[in-house]
Amino acid sequence: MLFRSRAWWLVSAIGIVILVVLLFAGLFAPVRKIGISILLPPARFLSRIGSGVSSFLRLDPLSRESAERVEELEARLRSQTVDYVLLRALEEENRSLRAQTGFLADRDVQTVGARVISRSISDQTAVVMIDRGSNDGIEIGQAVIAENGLLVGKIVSLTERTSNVMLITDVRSRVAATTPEAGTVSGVIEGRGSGVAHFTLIPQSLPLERDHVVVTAGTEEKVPANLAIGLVNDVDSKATDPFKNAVIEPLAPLNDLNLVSVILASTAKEE
Amino acid sequence: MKSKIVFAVLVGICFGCWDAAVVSWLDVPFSVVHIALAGSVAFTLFSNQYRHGLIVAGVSGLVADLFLPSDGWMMIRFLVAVAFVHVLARYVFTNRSLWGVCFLGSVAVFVDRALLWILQRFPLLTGGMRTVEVHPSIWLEIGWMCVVNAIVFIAIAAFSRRFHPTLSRSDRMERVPWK
Repeated sequence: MLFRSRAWWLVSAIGIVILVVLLFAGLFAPVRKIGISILLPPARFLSRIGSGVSSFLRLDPLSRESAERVEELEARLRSQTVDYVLLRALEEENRSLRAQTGFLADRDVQTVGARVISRSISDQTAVVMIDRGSNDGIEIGQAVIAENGLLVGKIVSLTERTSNVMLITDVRSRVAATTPEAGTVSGVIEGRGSGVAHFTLIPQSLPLERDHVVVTAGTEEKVPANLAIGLVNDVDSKATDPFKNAVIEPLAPLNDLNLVSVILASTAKEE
Repeated sequence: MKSKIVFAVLVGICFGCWDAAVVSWLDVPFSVVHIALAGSVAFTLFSNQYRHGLIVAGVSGLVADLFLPSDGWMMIRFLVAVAFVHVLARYVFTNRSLWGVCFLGSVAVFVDRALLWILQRFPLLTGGMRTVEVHPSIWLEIGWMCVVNAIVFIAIAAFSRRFHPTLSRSDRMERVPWK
């Protein structure tokens, strides 16, 4: 009856305030949990439609053929880059005669596959939501990879059934990185938004040129070493500066992520 | 009454799922086709169960909150925006002309953006809000809101009896079924 009276809006206002208080107090969590459990399957299904519509809208009919060709070439480049990184890693291992923290192919990597449900990609932010959460063994800080072991980003928050992945191009993203030649930590990959990342804090002594591959350093607890991140596009180096910077072109197709894998744990193969 | 509430909840779920799982994939110019706020406002302005617009807004905002990687408190923002528009529509701007509904829709967009601005300015209020959902320009969003409201307005004018002109006595005489 109260809702039907002329003072309904007062009731609504009080209701909204109560909702805010519940949200602040964290008492809304059960509702969220139930909501996610019930609505995850339709959200998964709809995300496929969204992904399809998105890729359709991105291409006009005239450029579709050339775009397919570019995509094919990019896939080949990614594959060859991964092979290159693998070979360099093997070379390093053979040279030093010890098992370094290795490559995906040389590791017993435990991963869990996930589908991207939704995205929030703007000039500054680049975060996607995947349909796996703490129930699947996912933890904050774990590395997320696309096909061929290309680093996509890291888990930044999660619920029981879903997780948010911050892509490497997000302005808040930081990943310890190096080059296969350097071996140890030689810099940090910082996201700059709009699909761009920079390789910063690189010592001047490290030789770095265009088209060099940048990989993860392996110093972060949950991010294995030698995951390919991107190619050096441009190097900004001044002799007077202690460090040099480089613009990185991410290898993973960050604008077109559908399926990804989360690296749960990785242990080097027994020699 | 209960079935109408269930209907409003289902509509809200559909709107929220559309916004989160479909629209979030689109690039910025196309991502204007959010339906949760526009649909809630249309529900509030045109439905005879206009109070259920709040339910649609709340549920669609909640679903969008659940499945978008952003933490923009969409449920609260939508609820406040729709409640504000509802008060305006019921007590201030009672005229439901095409321009009237477009204006009320624009008010909802402004209120939503104002709340978003406040949340961004005072992140401590939301426990350190970090990621805001992607928005196209506010003018594009107002345009989309007007398009949605105009379509609903025209559809209702065309297919419902609510907007049919009052018949004159002679008209009524001519339309009596036995004649």
